[in-house]
Amino acid sequence: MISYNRNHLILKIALGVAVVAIIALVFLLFRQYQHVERLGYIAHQQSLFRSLHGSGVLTTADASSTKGWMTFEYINRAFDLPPSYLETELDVYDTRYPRMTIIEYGKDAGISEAAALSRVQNAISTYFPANQ
Amino acid sequence: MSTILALLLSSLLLYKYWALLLVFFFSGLILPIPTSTVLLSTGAFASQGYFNFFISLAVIVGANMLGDYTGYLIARRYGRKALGILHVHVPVWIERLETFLHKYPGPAIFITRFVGTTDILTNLLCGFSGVSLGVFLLYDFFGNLVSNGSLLYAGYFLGVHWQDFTGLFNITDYILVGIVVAIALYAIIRYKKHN
Repeated sequence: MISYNRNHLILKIALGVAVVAIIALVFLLFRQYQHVERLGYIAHQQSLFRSLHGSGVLTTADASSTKGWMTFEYINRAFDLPPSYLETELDVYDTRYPRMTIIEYGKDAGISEAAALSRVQNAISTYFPANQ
Repeated sequence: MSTILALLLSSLLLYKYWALLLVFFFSGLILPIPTSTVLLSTGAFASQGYFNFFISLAVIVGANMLGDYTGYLIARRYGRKALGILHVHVPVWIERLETFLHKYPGPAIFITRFVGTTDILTNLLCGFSGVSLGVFLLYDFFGNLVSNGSLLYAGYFLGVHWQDFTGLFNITDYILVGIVVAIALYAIIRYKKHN
């Protein structure tokens, strides 16, 4: 009988912990969403239903979201850049272009990943004002 | 971001659906791969038109099920034989989890699809304890569809800002692991009480 009650107590504790964890999780998700919304990350028109159509082409405001592991092929597609734009702008001579990453471009150019990323972001930013 | 994760994401951009196939096959089979990050990123890439959302979902669910089934099959065919050859006695807690799985195979399979590495253990235990293949595949399919589909859609919804949420989804994984461990402990204690 003692063992039976103890098992029930353990079950209640486990369930209590699970409920608290789920509430905390929902709270965290809500806070994170609010935080991101406040920063203007999620555009006003990007509601849950409209997002079904995708975010579409990225613009100069999204240039900072590029990362070293991204390939030129993906960047060209995501920002709708002409395939040879970054190749010319950054003087890429590697035959693997556009199927190569920014990290690999940095190694080829003999610069750090951060410097390579900065060059790519600048090139994206300069493309848009000239083509708007 | 770790080098391994960066390599994984680069491979995803380079080899697209082939990379998805390999990542989700091996994550279902045995490797602890950070699939929540891969799902979020794939969803985000799909929102930018780089991936097709529905093809991605089909490849992910199919590959994950194939990995799960391989684990199940290996445990079913060779699990007990291997233990016999190695003269390993099955621990009592494994026997208890087996009994629990026999009693509630569907919910156990479905819930563990949401929790990182516990699904691998569940696949092996299901094969080991002889849970029927039909039941295993049915719940595996729905579990994978809901768990992977929801994260893929989350990435699709977040779009380019998916990277701001990876930390949060990792915390979610830890919390879910805690809940599954609590349920497993309860199953063991309850079994002990009845015997």
